[in-house]
Amino acid sequence: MSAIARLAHQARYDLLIFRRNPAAMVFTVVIPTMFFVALGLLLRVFVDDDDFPALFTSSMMAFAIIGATFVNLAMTMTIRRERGVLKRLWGTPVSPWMFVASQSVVALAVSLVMAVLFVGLGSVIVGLSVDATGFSVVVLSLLIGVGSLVAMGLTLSTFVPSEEAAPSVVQGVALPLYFISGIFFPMDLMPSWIGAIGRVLPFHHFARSIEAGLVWDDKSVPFEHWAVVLAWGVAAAVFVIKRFRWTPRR
Amino acid sequence: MSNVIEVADLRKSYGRHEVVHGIDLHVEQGEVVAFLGPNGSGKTTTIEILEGFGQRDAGEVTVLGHDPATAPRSWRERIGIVLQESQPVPELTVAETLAMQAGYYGDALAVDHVLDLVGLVDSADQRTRRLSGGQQRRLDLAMALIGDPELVFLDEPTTGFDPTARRDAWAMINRLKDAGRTVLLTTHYMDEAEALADRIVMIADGRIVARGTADELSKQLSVTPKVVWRQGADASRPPGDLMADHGSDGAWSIETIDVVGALNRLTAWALADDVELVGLTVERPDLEDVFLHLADERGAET
Repeated sequence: MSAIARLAHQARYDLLIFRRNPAAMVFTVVIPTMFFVALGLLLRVFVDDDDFPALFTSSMMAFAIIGATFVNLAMTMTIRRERGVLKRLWGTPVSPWMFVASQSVVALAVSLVMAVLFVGLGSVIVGLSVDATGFSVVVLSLLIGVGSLVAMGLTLSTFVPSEEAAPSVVQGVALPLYFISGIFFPMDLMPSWIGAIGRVLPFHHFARSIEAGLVWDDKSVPFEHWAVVLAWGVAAAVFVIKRFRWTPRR
Repeated sequence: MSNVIEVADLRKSYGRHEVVHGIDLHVEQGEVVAFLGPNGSGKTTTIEILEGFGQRDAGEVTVLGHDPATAPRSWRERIGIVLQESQPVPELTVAETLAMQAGYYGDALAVDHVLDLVGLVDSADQRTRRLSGGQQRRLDLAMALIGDPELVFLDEPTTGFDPTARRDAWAMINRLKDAGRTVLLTTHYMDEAEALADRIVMIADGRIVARGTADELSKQLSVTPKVVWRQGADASRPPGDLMADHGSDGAWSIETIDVVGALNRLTAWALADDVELVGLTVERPDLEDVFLHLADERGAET
């Protein structure tokens, strides 16, 4: 089988696994959508700002996609490692990196669906309007972001000692990051030193790279944000190649 | 090249603790070889090095013509692995799990055929999370066999099975042998090693302590056969040259390599003295005895 055929084979099953995994569906699709609708309906009453629709939609989209990539992979890869699923895979002729590629394809597919859904919801609930060029910038931001976030999720999973520890470690890392990265909370409302930390980390830049596409009137290509996200992604990928564990820790 | 597995002076340490102290092993094509030993004896460490998981510290290892530590991924087309512990992905059905696994091999067997082989046809559409422990183990075996391997590694294939499931698993493994596959298995059950293996390699504390067929092991470890009988309390006692022991349970026994000679002398005396030999049998020591004997010897040494 060619590499493409192997990848398609694995991605087919990984998509099936994702659709049948209630936790993955709830955390990556249901909760972000509920947040979007509830917060959007609430905030549009209080906030009267031209920047709001793009800021809000990009933040919620970043939240959903970080959930579908970083959080989901850190959890599922820890669980599969500890249950011996990855070890068994390592004992077959298929390259384990094919498996990682397949996870990325699934994450990207889910992210694109969420992006389309949220652009639609944004236009209905908070009055967002995006043109085709702007949306293609969003897609490019997703490509860069998803690749990097997958690598970061795999990196985080190597630090999770056991299946039982996965939810607390992973959410314990992700939740504070959402707050200091301007995803749940505008950055100019927080103490400057916290903002400074948030600006070094990738989540903020990922959200703002999406925002740049949603406010395409500016015509500003978010090179700087892409660069920061990519730098984190490359660093994580190097770590993963050197350190990722395929066998249980127990 | 007829040797499927060649191992010379294999050593492995975790930290400063050496768990495998120089193991040698040759397995020929079509053989079923069992690593027999208690938990923590180094069986799994050894078999995982042969499967390409662990790095060894010293020694030569060749499996199907390659060093497992550096073998290309295509080498894995020819081997099947049942790990000691591994779970299936719970979201998939049995048939989906096998179909996914089949896609990893260039030349896989049909899913239905393998389901039939391991007796999981009726569970094909069940989610793997609903399988019993024994059924999950069958699925493990099915996943190892789907690529039609020449060499199959089975790490404790029946641990935790009830007796029926064990006998079913044994029948499956014997079918592999009949199909000309080479099998290396680990077990801590003596009866399992005896029932499945052409040759048994006994391992304790990371060393091979004995090897051979079940019969050879008995001889090699000087556990001799016993002629056993009972006789009436008022019957005359066997003459001294028979070297018979009177056990506390009332049974008489003669421990000897020369079973025929002993029987000959015993029955001649019994006929002459008109003694009825009740329940006369020759007891061959089974591996359980061998193992206990060995454990005693090792205990005496230390």
